[in-house]
Amino acid sequence: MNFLKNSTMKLLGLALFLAIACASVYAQSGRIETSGIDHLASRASETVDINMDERLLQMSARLLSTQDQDEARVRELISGLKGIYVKSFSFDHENEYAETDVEAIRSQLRAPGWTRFLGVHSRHDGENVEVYVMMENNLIVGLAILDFEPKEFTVVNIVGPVDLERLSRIEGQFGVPDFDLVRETTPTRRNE
Amino acid sequence: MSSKNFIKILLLLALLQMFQAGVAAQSGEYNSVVKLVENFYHVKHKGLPLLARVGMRIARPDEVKSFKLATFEDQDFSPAGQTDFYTAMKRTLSSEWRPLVQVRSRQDGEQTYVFTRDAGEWLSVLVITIERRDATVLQVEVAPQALVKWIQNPEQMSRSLINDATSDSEQ
Repeated sequence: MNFLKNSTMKLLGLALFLAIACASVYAQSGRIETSGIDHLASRASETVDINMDERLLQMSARLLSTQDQDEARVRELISGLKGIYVKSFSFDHENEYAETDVEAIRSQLRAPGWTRFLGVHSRHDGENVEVYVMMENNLIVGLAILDFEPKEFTVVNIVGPVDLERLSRIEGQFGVPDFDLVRETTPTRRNE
Repeated sequence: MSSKNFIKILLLLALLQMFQAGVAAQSGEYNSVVKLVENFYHVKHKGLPLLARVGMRIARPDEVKSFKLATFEDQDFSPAGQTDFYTAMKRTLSSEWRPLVQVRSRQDGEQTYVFTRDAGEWLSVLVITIERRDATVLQVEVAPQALVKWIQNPEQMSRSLINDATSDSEQ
């Protein structure tokens, strides 16, 4: 009986250790875990899920020419990136996702290393955009964008060195929606 | 027969067996996905006639090889159970296949799934598109140059590849 109790305790301890280790690996890498909102797919009228891992991105970067202007531009854009992940849900009606779903993502962005960089709230169309960056030695190593509207919920996670200038060039391609974030950060727009 | 020759023949047979198993495993998963679509939606796929396959071999661009295509025309693909279908598909494919794109629209009844797998210098791409009345399963190996176009616009590229493949096969 004691043996069983000891083994169970050991297994529980191991499971806890693994869970903490996995969470800290995610936190350190700039990657966020989005499987917690996968259940929204059954309620969404449209679901988009894009996963570009480091292998795919760097394989492409390696093969691009440095001579050709267009290829060199894309090469520069994706070199060093470790992943681009997009998950987006559109709904027919409002209130199809809960605050807990947003919180499932947001809570990870309160971990050490992550900083809220930008928050835009539009009372007019109910759109909320939050941008978080993960810093390491004064360098951005991860970026997360949460875009939640009454009938839409999108999470973008870019892992690797990325700044706003680079982001503005990535937007609209590689499966990343065009948030027009550079324009959002200019002082002419005041929605808050 | 000398024992040396016997061992050589045995080795050769073993190599041949391994090669055949590899080829079977590669087309096996494609066939399993086609079978899954058939069983899930109770539909039947249309194979490509030999002439169309020859035509596609000639017409396809240099960036694409090993074309495998199954089309399902004018049959009922009810949009219900889209998430169950995706779950079943992930169970059917080995972990070597990594999901790249997943788009599901309940309103239009459209589903697009793209999976990739390493194939040496090339990349194997499996594209599954399902609409209300039609579906397509396509497996191709794409060259590195084409890969860049894929990742820049994965959703659009998948659709255009399917469109090219199906229009080539119809000609």
